[in-house]
Amino acid sequence: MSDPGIELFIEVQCEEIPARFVAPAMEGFAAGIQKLLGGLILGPVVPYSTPRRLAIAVQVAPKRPAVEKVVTGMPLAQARSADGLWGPAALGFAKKRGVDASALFDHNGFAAIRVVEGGESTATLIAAGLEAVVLGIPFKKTMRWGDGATRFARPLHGILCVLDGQVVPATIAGLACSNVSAGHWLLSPEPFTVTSAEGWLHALRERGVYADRSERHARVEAQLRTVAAAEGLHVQPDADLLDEVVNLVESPKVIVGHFNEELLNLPHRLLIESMKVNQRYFPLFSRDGARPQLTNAFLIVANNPEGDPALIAEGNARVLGARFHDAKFFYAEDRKLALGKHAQKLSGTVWIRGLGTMAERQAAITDAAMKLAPLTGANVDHLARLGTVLKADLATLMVGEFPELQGHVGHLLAEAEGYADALAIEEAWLPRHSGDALPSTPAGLSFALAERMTLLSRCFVAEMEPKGSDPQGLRRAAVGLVALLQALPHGAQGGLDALFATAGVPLPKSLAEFLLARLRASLTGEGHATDLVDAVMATGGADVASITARVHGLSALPKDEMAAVRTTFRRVAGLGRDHSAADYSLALLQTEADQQLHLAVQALPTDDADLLVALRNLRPVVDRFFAEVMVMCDDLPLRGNRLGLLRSILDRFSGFADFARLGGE
Amino acid sequence: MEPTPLQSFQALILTLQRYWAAQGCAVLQPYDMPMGAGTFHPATFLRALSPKPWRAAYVQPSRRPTDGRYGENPNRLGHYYQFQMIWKPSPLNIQELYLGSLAAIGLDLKAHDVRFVEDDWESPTLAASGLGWEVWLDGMEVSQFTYFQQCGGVELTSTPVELTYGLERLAMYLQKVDRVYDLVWVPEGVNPDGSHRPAVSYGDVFEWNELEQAQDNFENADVPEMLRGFEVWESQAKDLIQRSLPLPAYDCVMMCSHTFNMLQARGAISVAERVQYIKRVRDLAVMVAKEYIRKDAMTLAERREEAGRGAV
Repeated sequence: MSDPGIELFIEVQCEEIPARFVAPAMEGFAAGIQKLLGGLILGPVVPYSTPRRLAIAVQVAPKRPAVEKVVTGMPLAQARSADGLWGPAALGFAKKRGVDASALFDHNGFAAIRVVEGGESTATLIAAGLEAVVLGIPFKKTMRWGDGATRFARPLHGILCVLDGQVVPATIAGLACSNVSAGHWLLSPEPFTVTSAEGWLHALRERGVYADRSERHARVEAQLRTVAAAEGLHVQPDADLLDEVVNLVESPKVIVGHFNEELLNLPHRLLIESMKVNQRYFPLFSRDGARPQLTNAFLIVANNPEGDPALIAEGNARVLGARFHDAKFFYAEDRKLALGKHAQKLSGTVWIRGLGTMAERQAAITDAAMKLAPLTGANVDHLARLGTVLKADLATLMVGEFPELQGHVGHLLAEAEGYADALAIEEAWLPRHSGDALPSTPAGLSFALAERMTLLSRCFVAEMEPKGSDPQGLRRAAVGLVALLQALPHGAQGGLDALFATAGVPLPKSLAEFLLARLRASLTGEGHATDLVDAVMATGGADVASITARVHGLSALPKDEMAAVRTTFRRVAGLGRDHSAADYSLALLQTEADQQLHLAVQALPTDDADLLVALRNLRPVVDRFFAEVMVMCDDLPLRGNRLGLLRSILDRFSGFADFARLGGE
Repeated sequence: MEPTPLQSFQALILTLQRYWAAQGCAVLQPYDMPMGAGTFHPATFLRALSPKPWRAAYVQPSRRPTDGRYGENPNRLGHYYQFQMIWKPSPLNIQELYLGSLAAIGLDLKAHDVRFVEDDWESPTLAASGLGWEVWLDGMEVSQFTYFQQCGGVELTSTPVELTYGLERLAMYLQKVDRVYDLVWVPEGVNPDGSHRPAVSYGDVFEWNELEQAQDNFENADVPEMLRGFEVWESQAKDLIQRSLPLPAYDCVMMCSHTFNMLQARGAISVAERVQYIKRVRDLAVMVAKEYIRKDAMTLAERREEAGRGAV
């Protein structure tokens, strides 16, 4: 068994690091240690973190292995004086290397000495390199403090660094490393001595601090479940929120709070988002049949297990009361005006400088949405009526205060006023990000398409396409539009040109290219082979749903079959591509293989939707043809006939895929 | 017996003043001009620009015209108080000192949940920014804790730490009051002659003011006059900077900023114009900062000489 080595343990102690910084910082910290110690590392680099500490433990070799090397100097003739003793040149050579004459010896006719390289202790390497590692920990933002020029996420307070239980004499930003740590800043601030990671973890655990992030994560998760269950309620999983709160506490304690029940009259999305985003609470739900129903109970993940739960719960409930009181005030104010009145304010609001007002924007979206109605199946009268208030909620106090509720507030107010299909106002915003839900109603789909098509078109016509920065969110709009088009009925849109023409929206060439680039990125990002995507997209149809369906179809073929398809049809393209015409003479179909291929080509479907099946059926016939006949034979009419046969295959599939773009396996 | 911060609004202020005075802060008084936040006070904005050490604490009324609610919202005010502490260069034990101030106002920290949650600060009009946290007391933001990094467009070499306590919010928590106007400013008592002295509430002091100021901010303030006023303060600021008078020039910058806030409340500024106005105030703040730094490096005698007034 190899030497287990000795343990290096480092704890960087600082003021509260932003929760979102922790994961990338720990990755960078571990990488820095890997780079510093390289081959001396004998085991995994184990990360630990709390809001106030970033730590690493790793087994390392105690020193770099020593390697003996012979260094030769001058030939013996020059090295020795007449009396056979080492002369001045040899002595100088030895002195330069820090040894005396006794170390010199004859090595194949040259004066030589032995030197030992490596052998430095790991402690020395750490003492020399730790500062660069710690100060090189990557953070999204760094700051200065005091009078120093050092940058870190927040002020550094100390560095604990022990190797095999001994303090390593390193200095970081003027702080000498120690073997001292401390517990929770409030409950157990008294310092304690550390000799190992295990001892440190244990000492912290005794003080209620869980420095192992995954252990803390599990504790929070378990407590959330237990406390919710004790209330007879349940928590909806939210991995991002859980990750965040785990990085906000080092001594987690889950406490249940209750806000005033009458606030449940407010939009639930507002309550839920406020609790999660602003307060990092977990809302609790009851099961009303199949649908979870929001209750006035919520869970707080506090950082003080010894605190007074009633006091902490009461304080947190007061915050919600105050926060939602604002919302109640805004909602009441907003409801005093009809949505149509709010919409009137839009003519005084600039949309994008130089591109008109919000009122004009709303009219443009509505116009396009109505023209798209035959495609989506939406009720045109509903669209027209909703279109007058589509953006009205932008003028409400509620959306002014909670911009993330844009669409939702409009939907609720419109519903209360009896607008048909009011949900479409909210669904116009879908999808908000990639992977988000798509509109569930035809009216929502119409507005969602029109919203993005008009935005992109106006900006591209005005030459405001994104270059690096993207203040209008055009990339996101394009990704959203592609996702919407992918979900449209196959072939319904008839290509980007036709789609934009239907909507009455100009499609500059640059925008078409931009959208196709997003589509390509989306398909390859889903894991479809680049050559398949390119082969399909090269057909020039620009019908997003059709391109997507063809790529998905090809991509779903079994691996072996796909490899065969690539080989066969690349060959068809290679031979047939440059042949002038797709005609051939029946008289020249000399062999069984010629005739079989002719019959198969004749049988190719007229409907594009069936081409994938046709392709799969055709392949063995083509393979037999290639195996049994010589296409490039010396008989020129015969050769022309066979090339014509292949060319007719290419032509039939020209709207399906460009086989010439298929790559190797 | 002296009332505690749990019983009286002014006791909260007095306690914080005494606490920070004991830490060596100069306890200053509010600046005599309207401003949106205590950071505008020259004791913070201008002093932060200097490399010289500085510790000060003061109460500053903040005017937020758009936040006015005619006295109808129990939590929102168009005029409220901030308690501001600035300490430069930031000491390493500032978190402890801050927590000490919470203990001083009567909070038993071990019973509560106090947390430092990331919240970076930026003032676009002052070209100032910093990193720090909002401090949570049982989930409620009671203070803003900021390490200034940039001020007036200048990267600071000596880093100030700024603490801002939202006094009304903190007092509402301490006094367990749901409506700001119900805060006890002065508890009831007995006069020397034995007669009863009724309590004074926050509402007694400010409720009427909130109503009228909101009427002005949202309905009456004269937009054309304010638009003209902005131009006047702006050109005055530029003129004073030309004459190397950064202190009075800065007063004009504050007036520009306040006028802009009033115009916003009146809905007189579109989104696109808003960015332009912010930039105009910011440009002034940057010019003031540059001139302030130049004169800060001078002695008073040199400044007198530059003013053509020689020795006293």
